[in-house]
Amino acid sequence: MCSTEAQWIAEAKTGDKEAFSNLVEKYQRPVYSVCYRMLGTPTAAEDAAQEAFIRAYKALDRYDPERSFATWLLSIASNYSIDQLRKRKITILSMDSEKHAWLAPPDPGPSPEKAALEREKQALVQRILAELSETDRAAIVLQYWHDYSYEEIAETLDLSTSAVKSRLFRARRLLAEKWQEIQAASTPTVKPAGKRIAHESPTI
Amino acid sequence: MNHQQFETWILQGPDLTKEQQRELHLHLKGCSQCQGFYQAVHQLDHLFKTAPETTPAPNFSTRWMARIEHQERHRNRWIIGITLSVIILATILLFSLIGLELNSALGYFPQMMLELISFIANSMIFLNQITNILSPLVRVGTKYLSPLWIYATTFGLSAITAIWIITSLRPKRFQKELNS
Repeated sequence: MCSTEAQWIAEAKTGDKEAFSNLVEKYQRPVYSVCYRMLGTPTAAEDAAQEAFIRAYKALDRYDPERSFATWLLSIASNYSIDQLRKRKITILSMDSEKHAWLAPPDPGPSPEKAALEREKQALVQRILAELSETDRAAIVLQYWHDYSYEEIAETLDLSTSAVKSRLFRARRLLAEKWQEIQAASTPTVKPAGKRIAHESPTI
Repeated sequence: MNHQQFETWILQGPDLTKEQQRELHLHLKGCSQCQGFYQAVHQLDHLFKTAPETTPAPNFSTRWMARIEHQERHRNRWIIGITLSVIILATILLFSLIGLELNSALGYFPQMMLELISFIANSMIFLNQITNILSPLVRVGTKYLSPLWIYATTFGLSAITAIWIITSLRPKRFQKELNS
């Protein structure tokens, strides 16, 4: 943590919102990214990211300076997103993805074609992530988009390292199977929709 | 052939030993199903790693500031509302209790007045009787008794009077009714 950041945190602890807004400015992208990958729509992600920062600001007294501020902040964001998913039972692939598509990445490419392709890719990612449970999804998001280690994911999600490993293993297998199904559905003549279950259990 | 083992190795990826990697490589050459799974895992990794970055709309921190200030204003209004409600409720409760006490005291008011009148009348009678007794004594006594005896007698009678007044200030019957 840099000294400026430590100073902002110290000032924010005294109730200085301006100081905390510097931290908001600095960490808005990773926090928003976690919320977006978890909740699937820009509006829900914006709301969750804002709320996560508010919760962090209010809980700043409980922040341990020995820990990474980013990890602490992302743990608040991911836990809030998990709660939201459980509460609202959000289906990530919904009409919302289309409805709010104009809000997603501000200007992802130089051409409309590229923007359309990226939106399509974004929707595909969210469609696949929607297959996972809330905690598994958070673990995958932290691993792929934030390059978190097993230990950091465990700390963020309040799990043991072995639980994280097993969750990630299970989640990646499920995602690969889902991906195979999607590929098979999009190109039905190329290869059969190889059901893993038939392949997985030769000994049964 | 144990495909499950190879599937686990595919998912473990870079954590494999050289020997495991070599064995997996050999297996993939001859097993199309495992190769399909391997490709799926790697395509998915690629999809995730190349997914467009998501960014919030501009002025995120300004909106955050506005939101927290709105929440604080809302919370302050709520605290003021709760405080005022408690004060109003406490005042209503206090006045209700005072009203109830006054109501019960009003029931005893005529009796209290009778006791007071009775006390004043008794005191007047007592003083009158004392005057009647003491007047001849004073007239005779001043002739035959020394001033010391007169002072001692006066002091003794005053003490008895004081004791009587004190005891009569606590009317027993009224006390009993209050207690009941």
